[in-house]
Amino acid sequence: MALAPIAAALALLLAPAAAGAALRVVTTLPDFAELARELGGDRVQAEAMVRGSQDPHFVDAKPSFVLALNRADLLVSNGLGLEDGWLPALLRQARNPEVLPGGRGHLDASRAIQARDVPSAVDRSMGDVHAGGNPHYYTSPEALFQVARLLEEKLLELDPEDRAGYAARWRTFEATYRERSAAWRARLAPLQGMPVAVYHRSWDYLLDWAGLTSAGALEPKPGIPPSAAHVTRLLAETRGRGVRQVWQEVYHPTSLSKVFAEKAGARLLVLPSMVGALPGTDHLWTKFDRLVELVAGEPNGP
Amino acid sequence: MSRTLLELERVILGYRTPLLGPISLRVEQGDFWGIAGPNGAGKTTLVKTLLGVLPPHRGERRVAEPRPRFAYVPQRHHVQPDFPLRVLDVVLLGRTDRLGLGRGPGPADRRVAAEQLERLGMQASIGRPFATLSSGQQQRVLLARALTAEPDVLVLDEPTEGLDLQGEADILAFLRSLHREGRLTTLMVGHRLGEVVNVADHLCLVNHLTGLFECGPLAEMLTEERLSAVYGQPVEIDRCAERVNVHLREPGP
Amino acid sequence: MSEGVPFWENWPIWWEAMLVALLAGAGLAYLGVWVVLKRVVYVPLALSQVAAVGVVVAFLIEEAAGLTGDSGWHCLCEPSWIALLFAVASAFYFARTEAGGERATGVAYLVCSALVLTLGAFVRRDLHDISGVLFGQAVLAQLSQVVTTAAALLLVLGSHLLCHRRLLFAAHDPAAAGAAGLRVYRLEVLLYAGFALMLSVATRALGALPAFGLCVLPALAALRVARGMGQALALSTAFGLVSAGLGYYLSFAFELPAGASMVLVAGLLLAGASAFKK
Repeated sequence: MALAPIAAALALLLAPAAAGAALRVVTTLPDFAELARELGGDRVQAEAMVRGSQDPHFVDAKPSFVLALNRADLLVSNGLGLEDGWLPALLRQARNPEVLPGGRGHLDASRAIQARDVPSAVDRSMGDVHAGGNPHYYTSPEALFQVARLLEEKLLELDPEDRAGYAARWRTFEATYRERSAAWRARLAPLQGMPVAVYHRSWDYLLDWAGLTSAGALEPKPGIPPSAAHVTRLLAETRGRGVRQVWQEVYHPTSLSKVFAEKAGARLLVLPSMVGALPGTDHLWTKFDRLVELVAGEPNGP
Repeated sequence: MSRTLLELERVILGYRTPLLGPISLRVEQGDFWGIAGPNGAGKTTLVKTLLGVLPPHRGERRVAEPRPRFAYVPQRHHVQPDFPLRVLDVVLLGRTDRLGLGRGPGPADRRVAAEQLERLGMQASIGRPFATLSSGQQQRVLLARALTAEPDVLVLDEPTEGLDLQGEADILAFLRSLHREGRLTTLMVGHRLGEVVNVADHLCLVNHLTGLFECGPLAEMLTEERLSAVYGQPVEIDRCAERVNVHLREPGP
Repeated sequence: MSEGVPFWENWPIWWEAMLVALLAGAGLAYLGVWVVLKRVVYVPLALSQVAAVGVVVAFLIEEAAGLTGDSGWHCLCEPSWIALLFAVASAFYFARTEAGGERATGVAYLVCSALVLTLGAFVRRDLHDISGVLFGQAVLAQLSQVVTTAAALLLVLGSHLLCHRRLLFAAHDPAAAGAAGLRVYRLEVLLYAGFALMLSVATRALGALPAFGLCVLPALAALRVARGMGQALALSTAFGLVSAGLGYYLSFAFELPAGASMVLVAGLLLAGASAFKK
């Protein structure tokens, strides 16, 4: 609710493409916009529709989004059904065939990754489950690196004139990623195998990458509020497994997780799942810096 | 020598905006004041100001020391209708200001309440829900509540509104006897001038629409000129034995 | 009963939540009788918005003064306390004779909603941060919530025990009560302040739906069958206790949302009371 997003929306609405920018890139998640800026430099003007502190399942469609999509050369979406509740309507109104699914200017970032938890069949009894699999891969550095590769190809396809520039920026990006990724892994290494309870299953990709294990989710099914029996059962399980951390995103209520963590003898960590979710996480690297710092901060628990 | 219980001095009536005034009025112990005027003339505002429920917009309201005990019988529709209160519960509310914090009514309070209900012929309904009573019965219960407070000043706002002829006559006869026998200081707003002038000994004529306010002993006030000025129409007064009839003058041939 | 999750054996996990629900259910249902009789059942909605303004103001102060969780001043600016303060202070507004009705509720709700959004633009946090301060869940609770809810209930019941007849007279016939020398405005403030206190504490512990539901439904059920004010208050309190306790048990047994189960039990009690009256 800071003024920054308002200013960003206004910029999105009013500003002409930055001087020299060849591509207008609109992304759903802020992490993809950061990737586009990293890889495109001043060849790209990138803006995200979702703020880091917002639940990406539910975003209020704004007229400024329609205008931005209408003018966009490239739309980067998360895919796997994450934006199904709001993006299709915006695309219909934007009247820009280039950024429609299947169009040259549409990049479904989930094509870069191997989706987890793909159900064999989907029905309402399973809660708000996504047919394509768990869509929260953006919590993993490795998954975002794979998305970066795909995005690099797409940017080159749409803006081939600056091939050398893209190549140089990619080299820088890859080097930075390798270096940071190694540092993050090193920091998390002492926690290898540590079981973690989560509120919503947003962290499975990150847990895999970091070598941690999931001890279960407070939500019995995705999007379904926790029941007393489920929480009691989970509590019994987590106590047995020595769970020391409970993770959740900034946009889910902490009232239950806080008490759950207390009763489990664990620590509740509200982590930045997307860029900008917490103060000081306005960049891709700082998001993971902060995340790793929070998780690794006290490896021995409370 | 009579004692002044209540006095308004150069008071301007009104809640947020001035409605009527400045007016001055002095209520002596044992007076029976009738307050009359057309609908919407400001009678209830005057009564609430007299009671101290509504502060004057300007001017001064003075009350005798020790402070006389007031009891108010509002228009029936001003009472919340949904409360699950029996007749006795409602009447006992009249004793509230006599009870200490956290204390309920005792046997003496119940005895006073029962006596007042009996005076008003409502003894048989003592356990009935208040909401199920007829208009006339509810009016008597509210009157019983006021009398249970054993007030020094009884204030009634249109106590006969919505009653049938018998109910109206009963209430007026009761008020007259109450005043004659107990010299209870009474202020009564009447929506019909005819009923007011036959029970009161002093009269207030109010009409904020014309800015008119006059008050004084009934004999002085009860003139066709004054009444015509208040009601904005020619009013005729007939005196028949001890009864005064007030009606609009019929147009001439 | 849920497979592998026996209810009674797990009492160390749920006892605080059950106790909070019982205390809040009793307090809300007791106050609900007054709320229903005074025809101000939508005041809770307005109160939640007033409290939300309190949270935004607390956020603003925190950010403007650069307060952090480590400073002593931070405690004074604790958003939940500021929210409670705002809600209780709004009693002075709702207690005004003409202000208790629908219009005042509508005005308070709309103005406060607009204030939350407008002032909210100046704080870095999001709407879910405000919700996080105001709304709880009925699944698990902490001992501190038991203590807070019990304290709120004691305050409300204690003040009502002292002033019951005065509150009753002022609510039933404010003009006559005022004429009799009762301080009607102060009594109304006491009533609304107690209501705001209990509702805020209960909403923070249970969530908005059960708090609103336990305030209205048990009172409506009790007023269907009660023959006197004392009976109505006692029955409503009992219905509140049953709705909260049985609702929590059923949510455990059938894996249902806890708050919604409490409201459904209260709804069934209302249906039963209506049938009994017929």
